[in-house]
Amino acid sequence: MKVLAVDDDPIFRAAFEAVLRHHDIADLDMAASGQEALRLVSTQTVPFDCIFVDIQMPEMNGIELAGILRAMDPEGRTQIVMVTGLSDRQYIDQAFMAGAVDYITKPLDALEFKARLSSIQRVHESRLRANAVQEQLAAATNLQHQIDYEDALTPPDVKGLISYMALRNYLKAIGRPRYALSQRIGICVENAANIFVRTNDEDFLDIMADVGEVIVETLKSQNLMVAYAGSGEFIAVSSAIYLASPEQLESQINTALEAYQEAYLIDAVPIVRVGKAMRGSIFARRSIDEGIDEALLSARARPTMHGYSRARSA
Amino acid sequence: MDGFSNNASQRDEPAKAFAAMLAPVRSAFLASLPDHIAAFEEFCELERDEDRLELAGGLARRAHRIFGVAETLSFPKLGRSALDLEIKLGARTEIGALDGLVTNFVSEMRQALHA
Repeated sequence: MKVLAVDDDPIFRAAFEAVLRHHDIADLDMAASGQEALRLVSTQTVPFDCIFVDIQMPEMNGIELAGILRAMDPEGRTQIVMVTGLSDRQYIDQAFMAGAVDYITKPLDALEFKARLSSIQRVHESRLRANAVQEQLAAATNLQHQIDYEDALTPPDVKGLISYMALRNYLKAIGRPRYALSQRIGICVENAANIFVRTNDEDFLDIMADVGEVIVETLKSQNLMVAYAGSGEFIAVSSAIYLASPEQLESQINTALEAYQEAYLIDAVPIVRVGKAMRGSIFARRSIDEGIDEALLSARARPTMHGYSRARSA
Repeated sequence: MDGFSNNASQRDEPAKAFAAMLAPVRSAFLASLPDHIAAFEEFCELERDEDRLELAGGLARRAHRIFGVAETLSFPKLGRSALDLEIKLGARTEIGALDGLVTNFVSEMRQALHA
């Protein structure tokens, strides 16, 4: 795994380098500033798999740097992991919005660091496997999928859409009280499976990107996070106190999606169902994943959208 | 017992290698402490809150850096003192009443130097 670590403190950089090498990360570069990191990133022939970014840095802080790095790599091939001190926790929301997928805390805790690094390595290895499969299927026909329908790949180029892994990490990071106050909304594309079989990977993800864009635009609220969870399903997390009803949201989203109809080569306008907004309790024992599943289940349980012409649907 | 000792010593190898990698970092950290000590002592000598406030940001940054590495380099008490001070300096509310914390922090740094 090819790693870059960015921190302005030379002593922390040296300690971090020792820790990474101790965990068998040999392909490693260090940068002392955001500018140096950007220079290094732009001169690589093979991109970094993971970039650790300190939040508190002079001139260009870690959040700005993460935003630029994500803009340079909209498909999210490089995992951006923030390095935070206790006093930086207030910036974690911004870091996830800027494109980070996880964070580690200073001082480095051996067990926590090992667990986080393992998770980063697992994502890296699954990408390597996916690339290998992709190469093997290079000769395949246009409509043969190299991704699975269930894959939670982030549709490209949608401002406000973060990766599913980043959303789950975010919910874990904000702590129980804020998690309980947030509202989780499951949104599913009821004809996603049909769209999937009638499109190739790129077109399917483009359509999901359109749905994601409309969801972000429709929900537009403070601290909104939206992620694609795979299988044509999205999960949105909002701290807004008031949200429109599922019926109203469904109607707004589906109406907005009609505008995309002309752009699709197939007769497959996505039709969306919106579940009830779920708010948790501080004392609830449900895990983050169970909370997400509950929101998605509510969307799946909504009646199909008969108001929208079946002729248009895939 | 020999077998166990051999296994134990094999298990210790990565830890020894890690300690060896951290040794120069620890030395660099210790070499940086006198400058930090001087900066915090200068703060204590100031009597006016306005003068102290001018230094607070830079000192919070110094405390933040020390907090970030002290525990990794086996100075956990120093790390905790650094964090306490970073929070207080960042809040900028009790700037005139930080002498006790700063003195304790300077003393922790001196102890680290003599460890």
